[in-house]
Amino acid sequence: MNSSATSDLLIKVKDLHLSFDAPLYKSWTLRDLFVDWVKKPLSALEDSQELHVLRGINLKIRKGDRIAILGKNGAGKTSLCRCISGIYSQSSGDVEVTGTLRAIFDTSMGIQPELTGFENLKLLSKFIYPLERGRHHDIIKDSAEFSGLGEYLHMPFKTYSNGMKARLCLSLVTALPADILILDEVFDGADISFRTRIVGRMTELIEKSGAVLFVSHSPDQIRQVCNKAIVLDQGVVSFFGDVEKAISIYKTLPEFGNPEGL
Amino acid sequence: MNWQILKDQIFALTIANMKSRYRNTISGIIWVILNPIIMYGAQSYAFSHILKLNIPNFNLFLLLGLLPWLFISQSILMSATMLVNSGALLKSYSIHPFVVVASQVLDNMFNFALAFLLILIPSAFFSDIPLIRFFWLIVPSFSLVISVISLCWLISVLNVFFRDTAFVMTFILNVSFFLTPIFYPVNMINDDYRWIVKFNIFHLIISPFQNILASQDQVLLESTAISLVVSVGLAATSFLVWKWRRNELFRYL
Repeated sequence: MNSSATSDLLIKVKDLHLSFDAPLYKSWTLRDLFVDWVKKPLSALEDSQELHVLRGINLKIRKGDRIAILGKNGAGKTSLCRCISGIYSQSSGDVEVTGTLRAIFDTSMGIQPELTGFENLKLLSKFIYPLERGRHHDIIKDSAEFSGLGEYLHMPFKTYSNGMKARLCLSLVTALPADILILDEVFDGADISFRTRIVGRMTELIEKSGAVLFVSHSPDQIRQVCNKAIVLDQGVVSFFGDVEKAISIYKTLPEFGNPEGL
Repeated sequence: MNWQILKDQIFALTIANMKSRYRNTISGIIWVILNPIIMYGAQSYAFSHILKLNIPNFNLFLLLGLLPWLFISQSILMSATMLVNSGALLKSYSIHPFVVVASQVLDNMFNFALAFLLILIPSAFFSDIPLIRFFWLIVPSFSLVISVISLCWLISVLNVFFRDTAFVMTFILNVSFFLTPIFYPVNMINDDYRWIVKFNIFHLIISPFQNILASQDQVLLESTAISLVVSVGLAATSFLVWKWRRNELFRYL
Protein backbone atom coordinates (compact mmCIF):
# COMPACT_ATOMS: atom_id res chain seq x y z
CA MET A 1 0.00 0.00 0.00
CA ASN A 2 1.49 3.36 -0.95
CA SER A 3 1.65 6.33 1.44
CA SER A 4 -1.08 8.41 -0.19
CA ALA A 5 -3.47 5.47 -0.05
CA THR A 6 -2.66 5.05 3.65
CA SER A 7 -3.29 8.73 4.41
CA ASP A 8 -6.65 8.53 2.60
CA LEU A 9 -7.78 5.68 4.80
CA LEU A 10 -10.53 6.93 7.14
CA ILE A 11 -12.04 3.72 8.47
CA LYS A 12 -10.32 0.38 8.88
CA VAL A 13 -12.39 -2.51 10.19
CA LYS A 14 -10.55 -5.75 10.80
CA ASP A 15 -12.23 -9.05 11.65
CA LEU A 16 -15.06 -7.31 13.50
CA HIS A 17 -17.35 -9.52 15.53
CA LEU A 18 -20.31 -8.31 17.53
CA SER A 19 -22.44 -10.49 19.73
CA PHE A 20 -24.90 -9.89 22.52
CA ASP A 21 -25.25 -11.82 25.72
CA ALA A 22 -28.74 -13.25 25.77
CA PRO A 23 -29.81 -15.31 28.81
CA LEU A 24 -29.97 -12.45 31.33
CA TYR A 25 -33.01 -11.15 29.51
CA LYS A 26 -35.14 -14.27 29.82
CA SER A 27 -36.53 -12.43 32.83
CA TRP A 28 -37.83 -8.98 32.08
CA THR A 29 -38.50 -8.01 35.67
CA LEU A 30 -36.50 -8.28 38.89
CA ARG A 31 -39.40 -10.20 40.40
CA ASP A 32 -39.23 -12.83 37.63
CA LEU A 33 -35.47 -13.00 38.02
CA PHE A 34 -35.84 -13.58 41.75
CA VAL A 35 -38.41 -16.33 41.19
CA ASP A 36 -36.15 -17.94 38.53
CA TRP A 37 -33.24 -17.98 40.96
CA VAL A 38 -35.36 -19.48 43.72
CA LYS A 39 -36.65 -22.21 41.37
CA LYS A 40 -33.23 -22.89 39.85
CA PRO A 41 -30.43 -21.44 42.03
CA LEU A 42 -27.60 -22.46 39.70
CA SER A 43 -29.16 -20.99 36.58
CA ALA A 44 -26.73 -18.04 36.70
CA LEU A 45 -23.81 -20.43 36.24
CA GLU A 46 -25.18 -22.00 33.07
CA ASP A 47 -23.32 -21.40 29.83
CA SER A 48 -24.32 -18.10 28.34
CA GLN A 49 -25.96 -18.00 24.97
CA GLU A 50 -24.79 -15.39 22.49
CA LEU A 51 -26.56 -13.67 19.63
CA HIS A 52 -24.08 -13.10 16.80
CA VAL A 53 -24.91 -9.96 14.91
CA LEU A 54 -21.69 -9.23 12.99
CA ARG A 55 -19.27 -11.99 11.98
CA GLY A 56 -15.77 -11.18 10.81
CA ILE A 57 -16.34 -7.89 8.98
CA ASN A 58 -13.31 -6.48 7.11
CA LEU A 59 -13.54 -3.05 5.50
CA LYS A 60 -11.29 -0.25 4.34
CA ILE A 61 -13.05 3.03 3.65
CA ARG A 62 -11.11 5.87 2.04
CA LYS A 63 -11.64 9.53 1.38
CA GLY A 64 -14.17 9.95 -1.43
CA ASP A 65 -15.94 6.66 -0.74
CA ARG A 66 -19.72 6.98 -0.52
CA ILE A 67 -20.75 3.56 0.54
CA ALA A 68 -24.28 2.25 0.67
CA ILE A 69 -24.97 -0.46 3.20
CA LEU A 70 -27.64 -2.79 1.92
CA GLY A 71 -29.24 -5.71 3.67
CA LYS A 72 -32.59 -7.03 4.72
CA ASN A 73 -33.98 -6.36 8.18
CA GLY A 74 -31.75 -7.97 10.80
CA ALA A 75 -28.70 -8.16 8.53
CA GLY A 76 -26.61 -6.00 10.91
CA LYS A 77 -26.54 -2.67 9.03
CA THR A 78 -27.30 -0.41 11.98
CA SER A 79 -25.09 -2.51 14.28
CA LEU A 80 -22.14 -2.05 11.91
CA CYS A 81 -22.75 1.71 11.84
CA ARG A 82 -22.99 1.80 15.64
CA CYS A 83 -19.73 -0.13 15.99
CA ILE A 84 -17.92 2.27 13.66
CA SER A 85 -19.39 5.31 15.42
CA GLY A 86 -18.31 3.96 18.83
CA ILE A 87 -21.79 3.44 20.29
CA TYR A 88 -21.28 -0.32 20.43
CA SER A 89 -18.00 -1.83 21.52
CA GLN A 90 -17.02 -4.79 19.38
CA SER A 91 -16.81 -8.28 20.88
CA SER A 92 -13.55 -8.84 18.99
CA GLY A 93 -11.60 -7.32 16.13
CA ASP A 94 -10.50 -3.74 15.47
CA VAL A 95 -12.21 -0.57 14.31
CA GLU A 96 -9.87 2.32 13.51
CA VAL A 97 -11.39 5.69 12.68
CA THR A 98 -9.40 8.72 11.54
CA GLY A 99 -10.93 12.21 11.65
CA THR A 100 -14.26 13.60 12.82
CA LEU A 101 -17.21 11.26 12.65
CA ARG A 102 -20.88 12.22 12.71
CA ALA A 103 -23.54 9.53 12.95
CA ILE A 104 -27.27 10.15 12.60
CA PHE A 105 -29.76 7.35 13.06
CA ASP A 106 -33.09 9.20 13.09
CA THR A 107 -34.11 12.71 12.20
CA SER A 108 -37.44 13.22 13.86
CA MET A 109 -36.24 13.42 17.45
CA GLY A 110 -36.04 16.53 19.59
CA ILE A 111 -34.52 16.47 23.02
CA GLN A 112 -37.07 18.45 25.03
CA PRO A 113 -40.58 18.35 23.57
CA GLU A 114 -41.70 21.13 25.93
CA LEU A 115 -39.15 23.57 24.53
CA THR A 116 -39.58 25.37 21.22
CA GLY A 117 -38.17 24.08 17.95
CA PHE A 118 -35.52 26.81 18.06
CA GLU A 119 -34.46 25.88 21.59
CA ASN A 120 -34.24 22.24 20.56
CA LEU A 121 -32.13 23.30 17.61
CA LYS A 122 -29.72 25.08 20.00
CA LEU A 123 -29.56 22.08 22.27
CA LEU A 124 -29.18 19.53 19.49
CA SER A 125 -26.34 21.53 17.93
CA LYS A 126 -24.33 20.91 21.12
CA PHE A 127 -24.83 17.17 20.74
CA ILE A 128 -24.40 16.87 16.99
CA TYR A 129 -21.51 19.34 16.68
CA PRO A 130 -19.68 19.05 20.03
CA LEU A 131 -16.33 20.01 18.52
CA GLU A 132 -17.63 23.14 16.79
CA ARG A 133 -18.22 25.25 19.89
CA GLY A 134 -17.30 28.54 18.18
CA ARG A 135 -19.61 27.88 15.23
CA HIS A 136 -22.83 26.98 17.00
CA HIS A 137 -24.41 30.39 16.38
CA ASP A 138 -23.85 30.15 12.59
CA ILE A 139 -24.97 26.51 12.48
CA ILE A 140 -28.22 27.32 14.29
CA LYS A 141 -28.92 30.38 12.13
CA ASP A 142 -28.29 28.48 8.92
CA SER A 143 -30.40 25.48 10.02
CA ALA A 144 -33.28 27.67 11.19
CA GLU A 145 -33.37 29.48 7.84
CA PHE A 146 -33.05 26.32 5.77
CA SER A 147 -35.84 24.55 7.65
CA GLY A 148 -38.31 27.16 6.39
CA LEU A 149 -40.34 26.76 9.58
CA GLY A 150 -40.55 30.53 10.17
CA GLU A 151 -42.77 31.39 13.13
CA TYR A 152 -43.28 27.71 13.92
CA LEU A 153 -39.70 27.66 15.22
CA HIS A 154 -40.93 29.43 18.33
CA MET A 155 -43.68 26.93 19.06
CA PRO A 156 -43.17 23.91 21.34
CA PHE A 157 -41.51 20.97 19.58
CA LYS A 158 -44.26 18.66 20.89
CA THR A 159 -46.80 20.47 18.67
CA TYR A 160 -44.84 19.70 15.47
CA SER A 161 -46.00 17.18 12.90
CA ASN A 162 -43.54 14.41 11.93
CA GLY A 163 -42.75 16.31 8.73
CA MET A 164 -41.90 19.49 10.67
CA LYS A 165 -39.72 17.55 13.10
CA ALA A 166 -37.85 15.97 10.20
CA ARG A 167 -37.39 19.41 8.58
CA LEU A 168 -35.82 20.83 11.71
CA CYS A 169 -33.54 17.88 12.42
CA LEU A 170 -32.49 17.32 8.81
CA SER A 171 -31.65 21.02 8.42
CA LEU A 172 -29.38 20.77 11.43
CA VAL A 173 -27.64 17.50 10.62
CA THR A 174 -26.83 18.70 7.10
CA ALA A 175 -25.34 22.00 8.23
CA LEU A 176 -21.68 20.97 8.27
CA PRO A 177 -19.64 18.28 6.52
CA ALA A 178 -17.50 15.79 8.46
CA ASP A 179 -14.55 13.54 7.67
CA ILE A 180 -16.87 10.56 8.09
CA LEU A 181 -20.62 10.79 7.86
CA ILE A 182 -22.91 7.92 8.84
CA LEU A 183 -26.51 8.35 7.74
CA ASP A 184 -28.96 5.61 8.66
CA GLU A 185 -32.28 5.96 6.82
CA VAL A 186 -32.24 9.71 7.40
CA PHE A 187 -34.51 10.79 4.54
CA ASP A 188 -37.49 8.99 6.01
CA GLY A 189 -40.12 11.29 7.46
CA ALA A 190 -39.49 14.43 5.40
CA ASP A 191 -42.48 15.62 3.39
CA ILE A 192 -42.25 15.54 -0.41
CA SER A 193 -41.83 19.30 -0.94
CA PHE A 194 -38.97 19.46 1.54
CA ARG A 195 -37.38 16.23 0.38
CA THR A 196 -36.25 17.76 -2.93
CA ARG A 197 -34.52 20.61 -1.11
CA ILE A 198 -32.96 18.43 1.56
CA VAL A 199 -31.67 15.89 -0.94
CA GLY A 200 -29.86 18.76 -2.73
CA ARG A 201 -28.35 19.97 0.54
CA MET A 202 -27.49 16.43 1.61
CA THR A 203 -25.78 15.74 -1.73
CA GLU A 204 -23.71 18.91 -1.27
CA LEU A 205 -22.84 17.83 2.28
CA ILE A 206 -21.85 14.38 1.11
CA GLU A 207 -19.61 15.85 -1.60
CA LYS A 208 -17.85 18.01 0.99
CA SER A 209 -17.47 15.17 3.50
CA GLY A 210 -14.56 12.76 3.44
CA ALA A 211 -16.44 9.47 3.39
CA VAL A 212 -20.06 8.51 3.78
CA LEU A 213 -21.76 5.36 5.02
CA PHE A 214 -25.34 5.47 3.84
CA VAL A 215 -28.01 3.02 5.01
CA SER A 216 -31.18 2.99 2.96
CA HIS A 217 -33.72 0.61 1.50
CA SER A 218 -34.26 2.91 -1.48
CA PRO A 219 -32.25 1.93 -4.59
CA ASP A 220 -32.95 5.37 -6.15
CA GLN A 221 -31.44 7.22 -3.19
CA ILE A 222 -28.47 4.89 -3.20
CA ARG A 223 -27.82 5.43 -6.92
CA GLN A 224 -28.03 9.18 -6.36
CA VAL A 225 -25.67 9.30 -3.38
CA CYS A 226 -23.24 6.36 -3.47
CA ASN A 227 -20.30 5.20 -5.56
CA LYS A 228 -19.83 1.82 -3.85
CA ALA A 229 -22.02 -0.55 -1.88
CA ILE A 230 -21.80 -3.28 0.71
CA VAL A 231 -24.35 -6.07 0.94
CA LEU A 232 -24.70 -7.47 4.43
CA ASP A 233 -26.30 -10.84 4.87
CA GLN A 234 -26.65 -12.44 8.32
CA GLY A 235 -23.86 -10.30 9.73
CA VAL A 236 -21.38 -11.05 6.94
CA VAL A 237 -20.27 -8.85 4.04
CA SER A 238 -21.48 -10.88 1.08
CA PHE A 239 -20.53 -8.26 -1.52
CA PHE A 240 -18.48 -5.02 -1.66
CA GLY A 241 -18.16 -3.06 -4.87
CA ASP A 242 -20.29 -1.74 -7.72
CA VAL A 243 -23.60 -0.13 -6.69
CA GLU A 244 -25.76 -1.68 -9.44
CA LYS A 245 -24.41 -5.15 -8.78
CA ALA A 246 -25.00 -4.70 -5.05
CA ILE A 247 -28.59 -3.63 -5.64
CA SER A 248 -29.26 -6.68 -7.80
CA ILE A 249 -27.73 -8.99 -5.13
CA TYR A 250 -29.75 -7.23 -2.43
CA LYS A 251 -32.97 -7.88 -4.35
CA THR A 252 -32.28 -11.60 -4.43
CA LEU A 253 -31.78 -11.89 -0.65
CA PRO A 254 -34.46 -13.66 1.38
CA GLU A 255 -36.89 -11.32 3.16
CA PHE A 256 -35.33 -11.58 6.63
CA GLY A 257 -31.63 -11.67 7.38
CA ASN A 258 -30.22 -12.92 10.61
CA PRO A 259 -33.22 -13.46 12.90
CA GLU A 260 -30.89 -12.91 15.85
CA GLY A 261 -29.46 -9.68 14.55
CA LEU A 262 -30.52 -6.06 14.57
CA MET B 1 -15.67 11.16 24.40
CA ASN B 2 -13.65 13.76 26.23
CA TRP B 3 -14.69 15.19 29.59
CA GLN B 4 -15.00 18.77 28.35
CA ILE B 5 -17.64 17.74 25.79
CA LEU B 6 -19.41 15.55 28.32
CA LYS B 7 -19.47 18.43 30.83
CA ASP B 8 -20.79 20.92 28.25
CA GLN B 9 -23.55 18.53 27.22
CA ILE B 10 -24.56 17.72 30.81
CA PHE B 11 -24.86 21.43 31.70
CA ALA B 12 -26.70 22.26 28.48
CA LEU B 13 -29.23 19.49 29.11
CA THR B 14 -29.58 20.40 32.80
CA ILE B 15 -30.49 23.98 31.87
CA ALA B 16 -32.88 22.73 29.17
CA ASN B 17 -34.52 20.38 31.70
CA MET B 18 -35.02 23.24 34.14
CA LYS B 19 -36.39 25.55 31.43
CA SER B 20 -38.70 22.83 30.24
CA ARG B 21 -39.97 22.03 33.71
CA TYR B 22 -40.57 25.56 34.90
CA ARG B 23 -41.67 27.23 31.67
CA ASN B 24 -44.77 29.35 32.20
CA THR B 25 -45.09 28.22 35.78
CA ILE B 26 -43.55 30.16 38.62
CA SER B 27 -45.42 27.87 41.01
CA GLY B 28 -43.39 24.95 39.60
CA ILE B 29 -40.05 26.18 40.90
CA ILE B 30 -41.57 27.45 44.14
CA TRP B 31 -43.19 24.06 44.75
CA VAL B 32 -39.97 22.15 44.07
CA ILE B 33 -38.17 24.26 46.69
CA LEU B 34 -41.07 24.34 49.13
CA ASN B 35 -41.66 20.58 48.96
CA PRO B 36 -38.54 19.55 50.95
CA ILE B 37 -39.00 22.49 53.31
CA ILE B 38 -42.58 21.42 54.10
CA MET B 39 -41.48 17.78 54.51
CA TYR B 40 -38.79 18.94 56.91
CA GLY B 41 -41.20 21.18 58.83
CA ALA B 42 -43.80 18.42 59.20
CA GLN B 43 -41.32 15.79 60.35
CA SER B 44 -39.56 18.20 62.67
CA TYR B 45 -42.89 18.99 64.34
CA ALA B 46 -44.03 15.37 64.48
CA PHE B 47 -40.82 13.96 65.96
CA SER B 48 -39.99 16.75 68.38
CA HIS B 49 -43.46 17.77 69.57
CA ILE B 50 -45.69 14.72 69.09
CA LEU B 51 -43.25 11.83 69.60
CA LYS B 52 -41.12 14.06 71.87
CA LEU B 53 -37.76 12.55 70.81
CA ASN B 54 -35.17 13.86 73.21
CA ILE B 55 -32.24 14.50 70.90
CA PRO B 56 -29.94 17.52 71.26
CA ASN B 57 -30.14 19.98 68.32
CA PHE B 58 -32.89 17.80 66.88
CA ASN B 59 -34.10 20.25 64.22
CA LEU B 60 -30.59 20.65 62.86
CA PHE B 61 -29.95 16.91 63.13
CA LEU B 62 -33.11 16.16 61.18
CA LEU B 63 -32.30 18.77 58.53
CA LEU B 64 -28.81 17.33 57.98
CA GLY B 65 -30.25 13.85 57.51
CA LEU B 66 -33.57 14.48 55.81
CA LEU B 67 -32.55 16.90 53.05
CA PRO B 68 -29.73 14.67 51.71
CA TRP B 69 -32.14 11.72 51.98
CA LEU B 70 -34.80 13.54 49.95
CA PHE B 71 -32.18 14.42 47.35
CA ILE B 72 -31.08 10.78 47.13
CA SER B 73 -34.55 9.24 47.04
CA GLN B 74 -36.14 11.72 44.63
CA SER B 75 -33.17 11.61 42.27
CA ILE B 76 -33.30 7.80 42.18
CA LEU B 77 -37.05 7.74 41.56
CA MET B 78 -36.89 10.43 38.87
CA SER B 79 -33.91 9.03 37.01
CA ALA B 80 -34.78 5.32 37.22
CA THR B 81 -36.85 5.50 34.04
CA MET B 82 -34.77 8.20 32.32
CA LEU B 83 -32.88 5.90 29.96
CA VAL B 84 -35.97 3.92 28.98
CA ASN B 85 -37.91 7.13 28.35
CA SER B 86 -35.04 8.60 26.33
CA GLY B 87 -34.46 5.42 24.32
CA ALA B 88 -35.51 6.86 20.96
CA LEU B 89 -33.33 9.93 21.45
CA LEU B 90 -30.28 7.92 22.52
CA LYS B 91 -30.59 5.67 19.50
CA SER B 92 -30.98 8.60 17.12
CA TYR B 93 -27.87 10.62 17.88
CA SER B 94 -24.52 9.76 19.40
CA ILE B 95 -25.51 11.03 22.85
CA HIS B 96 -23.87 9.33 25.80
CA PRO B 97 -26.65 7.94 28.03
CA PHE B 98 -24.77 9.19 31.09
CA VAL B 99 -25.51 12.78 29.99
CA VAL B 100 -29.26 12.19 30.31
CA VAL B 101 -29.03 10.72 33.83
CA ALA B 102 -26.42 13.16 35.17
CA SER B 103 -28.40 16.17 33.96
CA GLN B 104 -31.50 14.92 35.79
CA VAL B 105 -29.53 14.55 39.03
CA LEU B 106 -27.96 18.00 38.66
CA ASP B 107 -31.39 19.51 38.06
CA ASN B 108 -32.52 17.96 41.35
CA MET B 109 -29.33 18.98 43.08
CA PHE B 110 -29.90 22.68 42.39
CA ASN B 111 -33.40 22.52 43.85
CA PHE B 112 -32.32 20.69 46.97
CA ALA B 113 -29.21 22.82 47.48
CA LEU B 114 -31.43 25.90 47.41
CA ALA B 115 -33.97 24.44 49.87
CA PHE B 116 -31.15 23.11 52.09
CA LEU B 117 -29.36 26.46 52.26
CA LEU B 118 -32.59 28.34 52.90
CA ILE B 119 -33.08 26.39 56.13
CA LEU B 120 -29.47 25.70 57.02
CA ILE B 121 -28.11 29.28 56.99
CA PRO B 122 -30.51 30.70 59.61
CA SER B 123 -30.35 27.45 61.63
CA ALA B 124 -26.55 27.60 61.68
CA PHE B 125 -26.52 31.16 63.01
CA PHE B 126 -28.93 30.34 65.81
CA SER B 127 -27.22 27.10 66.86
CA ASP B 128 -24.34 26.67 69.29
CA ILE B 129 -22.29 24.69 66.74
CA PRO B 130 -19.13 26.51 65.55
CA LEU B 131 -19.79 27.97 62.08
CA ILE B 132 -16.55 26.50 60.72
CA ARG B 133 -18.11 23.06 61.05
CA PHE B 134 -20.84 23.97 58.59
CA PHE B 135 -18.21 24.78 55.96
CA TRP B 136 -17.01 21.22 56.31
CA LEU B 137 -20.31 20.15 54.66
CA ILE B 138 -18.72 20.94 51.29
CA VAL B 139 -16.70 17.72 51.49
CA PRO B 140 -19.58 15.26 52.16
CA SER B 141 -21.70 17.21 49.64
CA PHE B 142 -19.15 16.31 47.01
CA SER B 143 -19.29 12.62 47.87
CA LEU B 144 -23.11 12.82 48.08
CA VAL B 145 -23.39 14.15 44.51
CA ILE B 146 -20.93 11.56 43.14
CA SER B 147 -22.76 8.77 44.99
CA VAL B 148 -26.20 9.88 43.82
CA ILE B 149 -25.12 10.25 40.19
CA SER B 150 -23.52 6.79 40.34
CA LEU B 151 -26.54 5.18 42.01
CA CYS B 152 -28.93 6.79 39.55
CA TRP B 153 -26.75 5.70 36.63
CA LEU B 154 -26.65 2.14 37.95
CA ILE B 155 -30.40 1.95 38.60
CA SER B 156 -31.39 3.54 35.29
CA VAL B 157 -29.16 1.03 33.46
CA LEU B 158 -30.72 -1.82 35.45
CA ASN B 159 -34.19 -0.52 34.60
CA VAL B 160 -33.46 -0.99 30.89
CA PHE B 161 -33.08 -4.73 31.45
CA PHE B 162 -35.59 -5.20 34.25
CA ARG B 163 -38.50 -2.86 33.74
CA ASP B 164 -39.81 -3.13 37.30
CA THR B 165 -36.60 -1.71 38.81
CA ALA B 166 -38.29 1.66 39.39
CA PHE B 167 -41.13 -0.03 41.33
CA VAL B 168 -38.70 -2.16 43.33
CA MET B 169 -36.66 0.95 44.16
CA THR B 170 -39.78 2.73 45.44
CA PHE B 171 -40.29 -0.16 47.85
CA ILE B 172 -36.62 -0.28 48.88
CA LEU B 173 -36.55 3.48 49.50
CA ASN B 174 -39.74 3.38 51.58
CA VAL B 175 -38.25 0.65 53.78
CA SER B 176 -34.82 2.29 53.89
CA PHE B 177 -36.24 5.56 55.19
CA PHE B 178 -37.10 3.81 58.45
CA LEU B 179 -33.98 1.64 58.56
CA THR B 180 -31.61 4.56 57.98
CA PRO B 181 -30.81 6.78 60.98
CA ILE B 182 -32.33 9.95 59.53
CA PHE B 183 -34.73 11.09 62.24
CA TYR B 184 -33.03 9.11 65.02
CA PRO B 185 -29.33 8.86 65.87
CA VAL B 186 -27.33 5.63 65.52
CA ASN B 187 -26.92 5.35 69.30
CA MET B 188 -30.70 4.85 69.65
CA ILE B 189 -30.33 1.51 67.84
CA ASN B 190 -29.95 -1.54 70.05
CA ASP B 191 -26.27 -2.66 70.21
CA ASP B 192 -27.21 -6.07 68.78
CA TYR B 193 -28.47 -4.51 65.54
CA ARG B 194 -26.15 -1.53 65.22
CA TRP B 195 -23.78 -3.40 62.90
CA ILE B 196 -26.54 -3.40 60.26
CA VAL B 197 -26.20 0.34 59.61
CA LYS B 198 -22.53 -0.19 58.74
CA PHE B 199 -23.80 -1.89 55.57
CA ASN B 200 -26.52 0.67 54.87
CA ILE B 201 -25.18 2.61 51.93
CA PHE B 202 -27.58 5.51 52.49
CA HIS B 203 -26.38 5.89 56.07
CA LEU B 204 -22.75 5.86 54.96
CA ILE B 205 -23.45 8.72 52.54
CA ILE B 206 -25.60 10.78 54.92
CA SER B 207 -23.82 10.28 58.27
CA PRO B 208 -21.00 12.87 57.72
CA PHE B 209 -23.69 15.54 57.34
CA GLN B 210 -25.17 14.62 60.73
CA ASN B 211 -21.74 14.20 62.27
CA ILE B 212 -20.90 17.90 62.04
CA LEU B 213 -22.95 17.97 65.23
CA ALA B 214 -20.72 15.32 66.85
CA SER B 215 -18.52 16.46 69.68
CA GLN B 216 -15.45 14.59 68.43
CA ASP B 217 -13.70 15.64 65.21
CA GLN B 218 -12.53 12.08 64.66
CA VAL B 219 -16.10 10.84 64.19
CA LEU B 220 -16.68 13.51 61.56
CA LEU B 221 -13.42 12.79 59.75
CA GLU B 222 -13.95 9.04 59.76
CA SER B 223 -17.49 9.24 58.43
CA THR B 224 -16.41 11.72 55.74
CA ALA B 225 -13.58 9.45 54.65
CA ILE B 226 -15.99 6.49 54.49
CA SER B 227 -18.49 8.48 52.41
CA LEU B 228 -15.72 9.41 49.97
CA VAL B 229 -14.69 5.77 49.66
CA VAL B 230 -18.34 4.77 49.13
CA SER B 231 -18.75 7.38 46.40
CA VAL B 232 -15.63 6.16 44.59
CA GLY B 233 -16.83 2.56 44.95
CA LEU B 234 -20.27 3.38 43.58
CA ALA B 235 -18.77 5.34 40.68
CA ALA B 236 -16.47 2.44 39.81
CA THR B 237 -19.29 -0.12 40.09
CA SER B 238 -21.68 1.86 37.91
CA PHE B 239 -18.95 2.45 35.32
CA LEU B 240 -18.06 -1.24 35.19
CA VAL B 241 -21.71 -2.33 34.88
CA TRP B 242 -22.14 0.16 32.03
CA LYS B 243 -19.02 -1.14 30.29
CA TRP B 244 -20.18 -4.71 30.81
CA ARG B 245 -23.68 -4.26 29.40
CA ARG B 246 -23.20 -1.27 27.08
CA ASN B 247 -24.11 -3.03 23.83
CA GLU B 248 -27.04 -4.88 25.34
CA LEU B 249 -28.32 -1.61 26.80
CA PHE B 250 -28.71 -0.01 23.38
CA ARG B 251 -30.26 -3.18 22.04
CA TYR B 252 -32.88 -3.29 24.79
CA LEU B 253 -33.63 0.42 24.96
